[in-house]
Amino acid sequence: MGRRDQLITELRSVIGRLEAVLSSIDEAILWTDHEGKAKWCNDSFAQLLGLKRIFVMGRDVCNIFPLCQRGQELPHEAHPLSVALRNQASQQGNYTFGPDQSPFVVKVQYLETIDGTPTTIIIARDSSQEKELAEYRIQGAALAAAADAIVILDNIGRVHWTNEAFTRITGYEFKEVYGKTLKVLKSGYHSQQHYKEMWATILAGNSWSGEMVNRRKDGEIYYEDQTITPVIDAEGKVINFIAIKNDITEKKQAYKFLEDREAKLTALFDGVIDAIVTADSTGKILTVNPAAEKIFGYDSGELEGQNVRILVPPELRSSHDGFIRRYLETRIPRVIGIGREIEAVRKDGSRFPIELSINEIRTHDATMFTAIVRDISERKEQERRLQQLNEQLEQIVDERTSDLTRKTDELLLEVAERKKAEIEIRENRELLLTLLNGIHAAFLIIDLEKRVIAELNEVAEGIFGFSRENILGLNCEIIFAAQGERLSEVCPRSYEGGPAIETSIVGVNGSLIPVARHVLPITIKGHPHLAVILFDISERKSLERKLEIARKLESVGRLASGIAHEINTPIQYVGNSVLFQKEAFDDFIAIHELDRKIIAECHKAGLFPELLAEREREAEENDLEFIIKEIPASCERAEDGVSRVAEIVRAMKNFSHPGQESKQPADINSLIRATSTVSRNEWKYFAEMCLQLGDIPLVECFHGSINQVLLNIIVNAAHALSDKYEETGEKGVITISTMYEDDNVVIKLADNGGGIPSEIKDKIFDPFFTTKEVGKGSGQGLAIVHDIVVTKHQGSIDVESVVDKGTTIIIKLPAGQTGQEEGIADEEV
Amino acid sequence: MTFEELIAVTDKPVVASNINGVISMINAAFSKEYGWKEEELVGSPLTTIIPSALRDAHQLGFSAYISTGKASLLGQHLDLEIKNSDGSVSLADHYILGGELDGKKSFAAIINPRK
Repeated sequence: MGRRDQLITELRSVIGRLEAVLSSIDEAILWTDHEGKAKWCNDSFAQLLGLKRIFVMGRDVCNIFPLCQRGQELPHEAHPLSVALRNQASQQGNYTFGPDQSPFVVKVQYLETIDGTPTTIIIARDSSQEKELAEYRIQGAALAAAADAIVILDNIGRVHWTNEAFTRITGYEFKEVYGKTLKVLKSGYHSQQHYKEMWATILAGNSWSGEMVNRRKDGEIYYEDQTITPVIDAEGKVINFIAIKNDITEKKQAYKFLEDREAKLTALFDGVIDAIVTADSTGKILTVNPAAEKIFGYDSGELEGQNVRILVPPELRSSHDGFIRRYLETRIPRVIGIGREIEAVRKDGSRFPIELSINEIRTHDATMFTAIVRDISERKEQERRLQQLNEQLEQIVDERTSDLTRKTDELLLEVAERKKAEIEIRENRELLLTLLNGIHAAFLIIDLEKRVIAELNEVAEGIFGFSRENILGLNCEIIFAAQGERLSEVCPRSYEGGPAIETSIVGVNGSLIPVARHVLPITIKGHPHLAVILFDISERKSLERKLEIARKLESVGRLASGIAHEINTPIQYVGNSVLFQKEAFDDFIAIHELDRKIIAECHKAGLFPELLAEREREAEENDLEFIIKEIPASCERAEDGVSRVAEIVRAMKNFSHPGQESKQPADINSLIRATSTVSRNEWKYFAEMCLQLGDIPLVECFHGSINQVLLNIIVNAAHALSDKYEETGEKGVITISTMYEDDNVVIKLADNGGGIPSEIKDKIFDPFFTTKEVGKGSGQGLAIVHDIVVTKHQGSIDVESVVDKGTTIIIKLPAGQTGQEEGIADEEV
Repeated sequence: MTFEELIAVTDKPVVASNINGVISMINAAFSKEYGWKEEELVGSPLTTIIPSALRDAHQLGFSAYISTGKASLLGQHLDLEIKNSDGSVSLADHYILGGELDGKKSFAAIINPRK
């Protein structure tokens, strides 16, 4: 071990023992550096702080050892350690520390060292047992608890300590004002002079008291009573000031409120028009207001001190004192707090009506009365006049009321009548509208002058395909331009001639619609209008046409039947004659053969030569051999022709059956045969007829109608085939077949013509629809067919058609009908 | 943990000093954590790695222990500040034990940084 190490060891030993000694001292000792951080402390100090010694080292002492003075926690800069380091002077004082505010005498020893950095030693001594400090602590507690704000200032006015009340009054915490002057409280209400005088007083060693207006931390102004007392040391020098402040803001406000109220009451008392009289319990007048003197006619000050009875009528004066006395004894009010109308007397003795209300004022030692008197002479007079007026008014009101009642009744009646009329008008209008929309007639109103559409109904919208809102008020000629040459039918230029005509118009899809048109001239708001009513008569027209055709066919049928009957008899003659001729000729030929033999014998014998030569010449001239050869053939041809004629006649008779009024059982096959025969001329140049007639039962039907159906379809088929084959020289085939299926007799009429284009397939049963050139087709054929099959016979009709291949019409008629259907003779064929 | 086990620790920073408070050993983890090189510290007083505010307390406490043998800090985990080689100060868990190193009375500590 070197000397140096030995020295170190020795020093360590000394330091170590010194540390141990210091550690064992009861008084709390702490050593700080120049920044106030703990360099070392003994066990007592660590115990005081409640920390392990090692954790005290290096810590800021003001933080770990905060002190309070008279209940106020000191800000760091007021901590005796801070003060000692700042002032480079030792400090000592009484403080409290810890949660239970234990009193300590704390001494901070300021030490300068040779190597430069100053240090401090803090010694804290528990003073709770020190009797001489008890008085000081009580005074401190009193200061802390005082209701007035107490501030201890140093000799230049910097805050050294404040109590809690200071914070309560000013809003400033002790920490916020420590070391500062109380300038922060300045409100600006006081002049510089005011503060100068205050300072002059206290610096001279005298107390200063006064009222001040200051400003709290939150900016609110407050009033305080302040007393500042200087504290003077033994040498007569001012070392501290003690300021005591009392917040008088509320007191001030209360006083001001009282002052205001007093002023208001005085103004009221002097200004009110009612008389106000106060009197004591003996009836002596204490005060009167100016109005009282005026009302009662006294001079100013004349009434005070008088007895109030001089104001009441003379006959009541003697009992007035008694009234007061009785009230004071019984406390049963007659006038007090109630108010009544009575009479009073003026100074000049005149009487006048008043309204009097008396109120009692009871103080702790006396009872006073306040009377408020209102002169109501004027009011009384007004009341009288008012009463008079009211009576007059009531009379007038009565008269007026009865008048009004009468008029009201009249008016009510009128209103009711008018309402009834309105309802009638509305009902009429509704009826009219219903009718217009319900009659299924298009209705248009056209303004004749402006040529615009003034109105139209739903049916017109439907027929023309317009929406009412879109065309109202528009030029009718533009709107109905699609009518073309029929424009004047829809919107005529004038009311020309007869009101009703039958014409046709162009419908939505360009089709012609037959209509009955009625035109009525009407005037709307002074302008001429035309009402155009268009009845759709398509259905009627259709029926009319059907009827016409039916009649035509009917007469043709009758005619044909008659002709057939007329022809039948002569044709029988002809037939019989031809037959006779044929048979007779055969007989004649047999005789002729014998004659020829006789002639040949004569020749041989040379008999009658001249006669034989003449005969030979005659035979040669008349071509006897040809006659003999051809007459039988001619007879056969005639026979054939006659039988053909007979067949046609029979068929015609079969076909026409005029006048059949009810359904009769019919063999459809024979109807087909007859019809194909009758119509032969229609098809024989373009078609072969192929009949494939099956085994079918009889069908109850109108023969003529079914014939008409068959004829129509055959003719249509023939036309179709003629269109296709006329120029080729070929022939098509019409195939008619019958069969029995599901209780129906089915008739199929097929052709191999051009077929029906699919776009018109749906229309072929429509009335007036025709593809044939004008004049050739009526457009009624298939419509009638449909009507006969579907409506009259409860059957069905279908079309199968392929373009360029042909068309098949399939008719189904229910078999076994009982014939209960009634025929409609006029429409029958 | 015994003194011998403590000075054998390698995964945590360890420093040892002799009875005069002179650093006799640091391990690699110590160098790595606090930036001190072995040649900078070995032979230097312990106060080299103690922040200045705690130096006097250290000397006093160390001396008192040497003189009286009364130990107040050994064998406990203590959060104390340590000075890094770049002069900054950081908080670290100190665990100090006394024992013999190379036949001499010594102290050693694991000084684990508080993260």
